[in-house]
Amino acid sequence: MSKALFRSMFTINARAMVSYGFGMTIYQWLFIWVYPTLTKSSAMNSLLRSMPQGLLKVIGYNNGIGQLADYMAGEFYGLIYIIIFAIFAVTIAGKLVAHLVDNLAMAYLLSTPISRVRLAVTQAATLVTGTAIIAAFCTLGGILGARWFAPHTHLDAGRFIELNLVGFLIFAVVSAYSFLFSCVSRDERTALSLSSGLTLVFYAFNTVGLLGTHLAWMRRLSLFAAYNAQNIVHGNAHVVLVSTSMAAVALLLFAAAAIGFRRRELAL
Amino acid sequence: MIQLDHVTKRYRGGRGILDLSFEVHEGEVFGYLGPNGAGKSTTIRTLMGFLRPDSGLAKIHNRDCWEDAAKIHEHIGYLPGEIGFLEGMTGIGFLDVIAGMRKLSRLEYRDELIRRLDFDARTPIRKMSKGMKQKVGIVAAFMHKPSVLILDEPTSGLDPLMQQLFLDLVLEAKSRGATVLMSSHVFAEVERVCDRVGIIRDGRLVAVEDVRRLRETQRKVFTVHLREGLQAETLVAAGCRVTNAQVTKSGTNEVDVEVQGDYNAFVRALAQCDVANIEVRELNLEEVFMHYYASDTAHANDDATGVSGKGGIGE
Repeated sequence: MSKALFRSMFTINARAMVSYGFGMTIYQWLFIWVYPTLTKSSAMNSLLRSMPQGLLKVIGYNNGIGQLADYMAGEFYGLIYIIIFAIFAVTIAGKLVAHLVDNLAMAYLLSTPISRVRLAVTQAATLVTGTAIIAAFCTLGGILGARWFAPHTHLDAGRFIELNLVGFLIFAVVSAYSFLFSCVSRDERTALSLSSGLTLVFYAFNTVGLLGTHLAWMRRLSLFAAYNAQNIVHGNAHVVLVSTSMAAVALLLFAAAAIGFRRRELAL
Repeated sequence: MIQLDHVTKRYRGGRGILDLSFEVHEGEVFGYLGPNGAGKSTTIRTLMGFLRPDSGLAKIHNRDCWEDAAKIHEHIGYLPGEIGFLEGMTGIGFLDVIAGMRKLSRLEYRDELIRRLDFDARTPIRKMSKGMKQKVGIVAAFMHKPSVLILDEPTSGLDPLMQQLFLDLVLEAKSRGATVLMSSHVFAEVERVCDRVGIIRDGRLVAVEDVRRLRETQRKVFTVHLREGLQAETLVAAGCRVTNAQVTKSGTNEVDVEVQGDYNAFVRALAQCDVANIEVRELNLEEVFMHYYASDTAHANDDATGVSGKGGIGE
């Protein structure tokens, strides 16, 4: 880890981190803002009741929208959150290594006494910090948003924090495999294709796996199956187990990235 | 100080370097010349630890360039051939990052370099001209007063005044005892600062020459205007090194003869010819080395020109 490099990488990417975080918060607020109106409309609840269970699962409404946390888990954390967070992780991971190799700036960074492993660790730390910032934005944004825009509803802050913590760790894994591709791919385009491709496959497997029991095996292959937002807000998820395993997987992937970067040859 | 010991690094396309061995001694400025694609950058990337040799060993300060890259880089100043910077930064911001990564606390020399190179370091890098970026690169390479400088075509993009200043900086570094490896296409600058030059072609080192000795044993070129064409052959037959023969517009034959030391033989050969005019000039380094640059046909001319890579490889 190099402090000077971390500082500059953080500064360069801070704008993206804050804009993504802020953008997601605004999105959350919009959802929270319409929530009181939705609960008052009995039409919405009867519509949901009339839908088949499989479809409700896919759109994340299998528990109805009786509570704000259910609604947020289904509406925001089941879809928008995953998509925006994935785009953030994939692009920033690409920028932190593959892009610098492509535009030759890496030649300068590697001509200093910072070893490749230290450099990779520093870049990984920047990425994880960015991921944590987005997660923090969503956590605080959700809690404050509920207080401001839906003051008469109850949001279980503890469960909501768990929801965001697991979300952060899931995306630490997305960041980690994107970072691995960024470290070992021959150029940024390849790195971005591989990481976005794998993320899409995970997402598709998760969605299709929900459609029927005969397709459930597909979910087992998806990283996002570990992120069951509805179960977390209802306290039915193995939060500690999922969190520790995600943290371990992310660490392993980051270590593999650093080793891959150490061994690769660079045409700088 | 800088050692390459039978280093081979081949790319898939077949290019690269082949069984390359040479050494740059402590305090020496070594010019590294060769046509584009000859393997100069591959050599430099290997020395910087960006590439791992297929075989052989590249060493700086007696350490393996691949294994101990980070340790070696403490003492290295590097100027890449093509410069890429971190985006969204000013020149000074970038230099601060590099200084921070080097844990460089004394910034007086950096500031002096910025002043001497005469540029506004607060300009955002994306707004900088090529020359200005090159100056930022030069400051980054020199600011920590490294004991080894590896410079890849360092004067490209600089105006003539700044090229002079850059060569002064190299000479100052040399006077501090620094060892310099500098690739270049500009013979005049190589002639001015380098102690020795190595010529690489098609991935192989074809010659290493001592610049001072070359200068001392400088050949002279006599351009002889002959009234009859066949007499050029007389000169060749008499053992003269004829490097060029052509018929001018006025109908005389212009023959370039290189002479080194043995003027009598040349004069005796001339006595057999009908000479209209003689001009004399000294051969510059560019001409000495140009035949290394040319394609394979140049090999055939080696004997005729008498300039060969003999002696000196690895010396």
